[in-house]
Amino acid sequence: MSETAGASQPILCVTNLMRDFGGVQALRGVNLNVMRGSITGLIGPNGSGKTTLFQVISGVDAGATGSITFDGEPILGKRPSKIYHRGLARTFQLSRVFPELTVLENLIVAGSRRDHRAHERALGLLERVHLNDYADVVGKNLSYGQQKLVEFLRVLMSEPALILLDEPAAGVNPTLRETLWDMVRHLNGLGTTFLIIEHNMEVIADLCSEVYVLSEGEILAHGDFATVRNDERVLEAYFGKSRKSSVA
Amino acid sequence: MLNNNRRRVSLGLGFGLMLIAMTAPLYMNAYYQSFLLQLFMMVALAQAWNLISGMTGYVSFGHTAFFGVGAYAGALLLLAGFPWWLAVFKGAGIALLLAVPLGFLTLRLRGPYFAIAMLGLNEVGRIIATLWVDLTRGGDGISLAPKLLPSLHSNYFSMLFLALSATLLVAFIHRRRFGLELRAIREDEEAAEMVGVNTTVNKVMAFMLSALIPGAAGAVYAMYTSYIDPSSVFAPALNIQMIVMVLFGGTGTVWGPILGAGIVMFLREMLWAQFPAAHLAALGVLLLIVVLYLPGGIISLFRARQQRARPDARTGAAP
Repeated sequence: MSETAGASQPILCVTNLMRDFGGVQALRGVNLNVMRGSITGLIGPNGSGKTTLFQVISGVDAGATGSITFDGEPILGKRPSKIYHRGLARTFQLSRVFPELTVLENLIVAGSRRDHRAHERALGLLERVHLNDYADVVGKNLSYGQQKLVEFLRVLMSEPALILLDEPAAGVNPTLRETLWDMVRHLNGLGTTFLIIEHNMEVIADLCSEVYVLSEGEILAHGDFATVRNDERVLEAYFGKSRKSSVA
Repeated sequence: MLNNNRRRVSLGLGFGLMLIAMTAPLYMNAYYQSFLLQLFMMVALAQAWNLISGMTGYVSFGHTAFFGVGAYAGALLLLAGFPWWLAVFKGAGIALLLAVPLGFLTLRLRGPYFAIAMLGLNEVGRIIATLWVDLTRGGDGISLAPKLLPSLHSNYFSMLFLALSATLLVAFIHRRRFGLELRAIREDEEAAEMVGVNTTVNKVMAFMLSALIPGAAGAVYAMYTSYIDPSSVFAPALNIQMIVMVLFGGTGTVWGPILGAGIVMFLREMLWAQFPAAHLAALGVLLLIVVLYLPGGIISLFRARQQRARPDARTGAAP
């Protein structure tokens, strides 16, 4: 479990967030607070709206109503680059490295224009995950796991206060996965806040101090993992009414 | 080490080409000077197209609109009594100013929608030039009296200057953070925006710079030919030539448009003399072969050679 001392103030507040796509309600009045310095999990069955929520928070999807404040500032409707420079970064469910840019360029482009040490910092990050030999390799020539790792390192270039990770370990081999989670723990120890979508419940149980469960666009339950795991509504959402008793 | 060698070769080659181009009027007759002038124009135009379409991936089918605007602005300003160099300067400025609102409007579109919008823009330019008879003399075109025109040498060196400026601009941008951001937009615009790249500002900046060069080239072209009409300067075929040359040489690179313009112009001149009826078809077949078998253009042959020379040949940075 992550260190939660001093994590009493929310860094991200999502209030009554609604998003519909031509009559299909993807988000139905979502309320969610991410505490500063925490690692918060966001779980839910496929199609429950988790990635849509990330799209809206990060500014990619500008069609939602409600309110989102990050570090006390409203960010709903702001363009993604502005939100990023305010300190909120995200990764994608499927790797989105720039395929024809080198690994080093992939990282440098994500740093601030005013950062004159971006080159050194990018090399330092690569060294930390033993990818420094790949600095000049173009993104498309990396394995999928390496691409996911580079995408994660890329968002670290701006030293964000909050990072949204969308299934960061999906398709990643166990060794790289461990490297990734170690980095998350390390950065969290230094004060970075995380909101993570993850299907591996062991990881959620191990890393997250608080967990939100999203189902059909609504927050079904939240609390620590043990509380959420035993919530009947959660079991029902995941496994259906008929099987909930046997799984619990 | 290899990068240093590559830089030295590039600089040496560039210097050699410049020396030939600068001294050519001393020993070449008017025919060859005219050929080189047109080559410089195509290098400048291809580099301009490369700047927006090669580096950001926004394929423009209407960059001749800026060429046409520059040509008309240059010709009209010359008729109004401005010295030729100031008319060129102002023609480029007008094209650049026009690119600001047009960039904000059209660069919201992506892929084929942007391409079609740009094609439409060129057509709008051609129709305005045809119908606004009081200003442009419509389909009759504008003839410029010889006494107003600069000499062939002045036109020659103006086009050379434009080709050189456009190439240096692309090379400069390629090495800067701005170029990296443009390439990130080309690779994945949404992901670029997500890592802090203000994609709108970057695209419009690139669009403005890429309009400036055709604007100036259009004005010099008007003075070189001494006659323009809507169909000659708002010609979609000219835009196709820019695209062909960049594809032929190598998209998004510094040397690609120079190589493409040089080879295509040379082949066109050779084939035109030998096969006046079929030279365009022959060029089309050649382009098809290059696109099919060398999607990175002729420049990719050199790049592949350089990579073979490296023990860990895994990179793909553009030369």
